[in-house]
Amino acid sequence: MSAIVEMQGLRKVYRRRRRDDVVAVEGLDLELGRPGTVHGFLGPNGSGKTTTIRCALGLIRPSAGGVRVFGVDSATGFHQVAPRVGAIVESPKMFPNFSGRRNLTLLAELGGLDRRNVDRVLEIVGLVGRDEDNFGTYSLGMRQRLAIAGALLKDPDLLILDEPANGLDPAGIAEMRVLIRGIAEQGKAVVVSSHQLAEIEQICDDVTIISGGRLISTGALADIRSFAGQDRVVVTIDDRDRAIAALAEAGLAGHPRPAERELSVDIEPARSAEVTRALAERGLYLSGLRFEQASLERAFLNLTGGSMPPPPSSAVPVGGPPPPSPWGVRPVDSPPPPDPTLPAGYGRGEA
Amino acid sequence: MIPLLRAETHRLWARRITRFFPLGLAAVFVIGIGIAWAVISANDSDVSFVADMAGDDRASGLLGPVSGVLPVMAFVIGASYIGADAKTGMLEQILTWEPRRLRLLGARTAIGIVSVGLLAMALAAFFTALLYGLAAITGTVDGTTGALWLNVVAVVLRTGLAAGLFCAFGLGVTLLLNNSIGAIVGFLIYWFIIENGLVALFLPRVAVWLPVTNAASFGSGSPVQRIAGNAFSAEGPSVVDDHGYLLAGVVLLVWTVLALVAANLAFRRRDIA
Repeated sequence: MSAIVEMQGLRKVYRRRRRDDVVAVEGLDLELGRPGTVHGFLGPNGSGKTTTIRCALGLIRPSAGGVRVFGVDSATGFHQVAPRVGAIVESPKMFPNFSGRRNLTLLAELGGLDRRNVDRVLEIVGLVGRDEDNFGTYSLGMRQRLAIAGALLKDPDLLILDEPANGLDPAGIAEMRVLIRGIAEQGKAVVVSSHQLAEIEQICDDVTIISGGRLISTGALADIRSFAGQDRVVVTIDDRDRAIAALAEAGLAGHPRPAERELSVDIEPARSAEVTRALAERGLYLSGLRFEQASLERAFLNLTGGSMPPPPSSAVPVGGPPPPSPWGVRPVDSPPPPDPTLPAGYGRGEA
Repeated sequence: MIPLLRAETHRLWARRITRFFPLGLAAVFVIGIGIAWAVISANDSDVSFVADMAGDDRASGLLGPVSGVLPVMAFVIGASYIGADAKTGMLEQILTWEPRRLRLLGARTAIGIVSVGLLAMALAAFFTALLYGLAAITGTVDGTTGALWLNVVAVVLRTGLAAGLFCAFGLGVTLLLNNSIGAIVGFLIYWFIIENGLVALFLPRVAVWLPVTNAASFGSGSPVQRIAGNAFSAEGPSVVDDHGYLLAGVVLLVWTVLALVAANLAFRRRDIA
């Protein structure tokens, strides 16, 4: 199934007076959004996500390359596909002195839509009852809901949401998750840019990671998650060196962690009894044990050179580095600093 | 195009400045006429509507007291109409619905001209009615013939058109500068200090081609005047007619079109970020 948003050599440079130019996006070749799926679009702050989205929506002109949405160049022909695209960019933007309903009604009129659509989307986002209040009086979570309602007004085939869970309380985030999945299940394509990786992990089918304006990795969620290495058991114990030696005798690889009394064992949580048994049999008793799953967050940090405390260099997953990606990690010209804990080429399409 | 025009019309009229600025002006008119009534009553003098208020047979003096205020209102409404979008970030939202920027600008210009034109006409008519009432209460309304009323209607219509064009001018300037507060403050400084002050005094032949002067002239129907000779001579400045109000209307139109063309060129190339 082909992607709805296709970028080729997308480059955006912001020219600034008396200051150096800023290269926000550099040579991005990327495909986003397939009908019936949710695509997570991830990257550290300033990585170029919002600039990329703005280019896709025709709000800013690429310095080079281009974006095609539904096969149409968004810089020149976005109006042809605008009725099929709903979007929130960066933060909810509406007129503060207008009520939520009036804001939506204006948008509906702009799109030549029946006003009954306003009631429909207010119902969807749970703002019935507060719709006559001014947007300026809304909490951030309510603003976010109203912006999503605005994006849903068109009943779009492609929904682009930039940080949709910002400001939402846990219940709101859970509702958002259900909403986004529900939209995808109706056959729509949803692209979600977010920093809330746990949320992305729960709702996305595909994930793209960019950093420094360059593509780092893109593919199915499970494949991206494989860059996190494997699940780990983290043990807290007084005599760490003896514990590592004891585990080695039992055929388990323990690795010291930055915390003085902690070590990690690359083993599925279901086999953690093997760890406790190996230590107890040698007179070593742990004071704590927890699991670390191979999460999207860990993969994200590994791939982007993030600031999560890395495991020591010896903590390469048992069995060596993961196999080359079968789903086409794109080579990049100038990747971010490599994670020293991973072998050369790990996560960048090189074996 | 019709949904866009409808949405823009509702949006402009839903804005508080569009409703409260004219209402504020109307209140100022009422207060001004009330003060005039009090002064006239205290001095026990008569006011003849025709002779004292309308001026010449084209009624060009009728809206003299408000001819400068209405372009300011028009400019402010036009500037804030486009500026509010930039300030709230709503322009981004709107452009994902109507990405054709020329179309959006065209719709706004049309709605601005018509809406502010109607507002200005209503205010001008209201002011005329207040004057008529003042004359009727304190003196006489003799001489208000049908021909004069036709001229009054023409003044009101031209005032509306001038205000509408000035709204479009304000919209264009604001879009060009990408800053509504800067545009409004800059306009007021320009109007009071530059156009009516420095340029009028030192470059009178240039001043007669500037926008506010021509807007006021076109609306009132009076000729554009300039200072002849040395403005600072012992005899004082002499004032001469430079060109008529119809040419003033053309000059205003040219300024408006220039502002809109420049704004469109800038807007089409601008990154909305």
